[in-house]
Amino acid sequence: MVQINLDHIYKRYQGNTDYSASDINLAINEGEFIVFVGPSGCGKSTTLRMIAGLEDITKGDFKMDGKVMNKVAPKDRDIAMVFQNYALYPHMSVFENMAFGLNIRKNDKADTKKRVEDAAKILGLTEYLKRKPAALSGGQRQRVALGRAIVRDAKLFLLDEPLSNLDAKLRVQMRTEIAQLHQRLGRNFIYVTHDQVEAMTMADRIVIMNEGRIQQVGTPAQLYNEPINKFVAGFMGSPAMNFFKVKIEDGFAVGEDGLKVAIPEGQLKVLQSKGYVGKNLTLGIRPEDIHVEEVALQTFPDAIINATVEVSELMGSESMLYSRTGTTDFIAKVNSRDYHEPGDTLKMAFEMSKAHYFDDETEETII
Amino acid sequence: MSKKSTHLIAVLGALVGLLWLFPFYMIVTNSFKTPKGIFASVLALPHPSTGRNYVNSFKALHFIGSLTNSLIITVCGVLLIILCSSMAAYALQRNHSKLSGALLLLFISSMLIPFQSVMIPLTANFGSVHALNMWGLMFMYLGFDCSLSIFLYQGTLSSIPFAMDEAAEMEGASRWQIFYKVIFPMLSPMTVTVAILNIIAIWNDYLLPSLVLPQAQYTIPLQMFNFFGEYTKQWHLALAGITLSIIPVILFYLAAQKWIIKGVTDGAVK
Repeated sequence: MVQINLDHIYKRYQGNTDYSASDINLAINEGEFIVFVGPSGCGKSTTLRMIAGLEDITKGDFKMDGKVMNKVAPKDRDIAMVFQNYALYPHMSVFENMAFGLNIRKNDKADTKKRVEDAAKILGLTEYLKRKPAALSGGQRQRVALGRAIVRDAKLFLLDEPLSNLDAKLRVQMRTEIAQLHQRLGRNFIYVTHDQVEAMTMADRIVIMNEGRIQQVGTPAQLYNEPINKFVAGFMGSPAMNFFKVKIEDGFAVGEDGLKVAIPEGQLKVLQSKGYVGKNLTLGIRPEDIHVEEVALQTFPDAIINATVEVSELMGSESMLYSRTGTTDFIAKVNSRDYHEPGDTLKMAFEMSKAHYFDDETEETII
Repeated sequence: MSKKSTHLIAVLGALVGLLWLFPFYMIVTNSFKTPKGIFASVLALPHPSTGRNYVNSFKALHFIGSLTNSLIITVCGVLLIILCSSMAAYALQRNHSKLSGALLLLFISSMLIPFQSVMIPLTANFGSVHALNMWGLMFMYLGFDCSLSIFLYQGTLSSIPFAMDEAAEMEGASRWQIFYKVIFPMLSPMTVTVAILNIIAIWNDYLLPSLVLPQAQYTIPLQMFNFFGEYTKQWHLALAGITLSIIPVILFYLAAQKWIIKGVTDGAVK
């Protein structure tokens, strides 16, 4: 286990004027499972590669247990890494792949054998040790890549989108296995993904990035319930949060296209105290906080809108209603009992106690 | 495809196959004939048949010595080309500087220079450093043949993800270990192709060795020339000599058959 610090790290590639990663400032506690998440090109992989030592740090310090590691070669950082495309050596057997790092370091052969066999046992690869990677399925290859990292017994494990090449079912299975592996090993894991579901389900803390900058760091629940800005609110959660352009008038959030919902008293006080009355702002509400059932319509009588269902998806236990009110598209996630056909016009209630408000200019969270 | 057209293609294939085998038939059958027998009928089977040609050709060619020379020059030359060109291609492909790009272009453009335009100054220069021998010849082959090999290796290397290098680097491998433990084995199919191309070129080469090698280091093709005088051509001995000189190549093919087929077909199907 190791304490990791990223102190105001910047990365600019040769020939570029902009930084690919800017002011990355993060302290990672011992044994933590950190997930870097964000859209493509947000700088998450660049940051991971700087930690690995595969990219130079332009500015700032990367520290492990207080020691600056900027100039330390990747092989001397005691870091194991799992690559997106697994990077298994096709001419070597599973055993040789897993033992490669130990053999390079001239580890005792008997110890290497034991470590590889132990790792293979953990990952269910014992019967495949003599096979070449080409004779393995995607999930098995992924396990070999993990095994190669495990046998090294490194202080820090870096995983760069390791599940992105797997099918949906296997991805869910491997997600659980990686989380279990982290608990078992008790090492620091830094995991990069663009899939917020992976981030939510695996992380102790999530680092959400956009345009080369950290947007917010927090537990999955913090990021979901208390997003710091509109980007985080929109990125975390599936389907994404719905946004409506509104103005605060007489205790209501009023949209240009007929939307009019009452703002709960507590929220209104905050908006008033911050001077947002009469100003344009963005109202955010998650799909699961929009209801169509009768009891909800009765519970929230002053937060009802008229909407038309454009596309509906029956997901099993729930339905996604891709709807429109005025000119604004939004999604409601409702119980499958409340499934509606496309073209249906219906009333929907916003559970306004769970609404978020964002400044239109800065896009930062007001409440 | 209908059964009829399948049969037609099979017959056509067999005819093409026979056409390809015909030179071998000519060489082998005539190598067992007397000079009179060859001129009587080139196409007929040997009658009477004689193995004497092989004994005489074996002696005239100094076969053991010239075979050894051919083997040393071919094996060492090809190994040198494989080693240098794979490493050069690796360095050029993995280094994305403008200089690397320019060097690669330089290597590729050197393929366009005709050998005949440089052979005289080349031998003069090698002569001045007393390198007109089989070792000097190997370096000449390296210079002439590595450009194509680098070009071929470079293409294959571009399909090997850089993550392979990075994974090995993270595991603790040095740059040299990354190359020879990870990358070079992955180049095997192309190495086979490079080896075949260069073995054929070097084994059969006549012109460059004739300019460079002293008589004591003559290769099989040079010794073969002894059978072709200004006024007489000893076809019976020459054809026996050609048959003898083909044997090592066939043995090489049989030994490396598995790798050659893999090398040629690798990547053809997913």
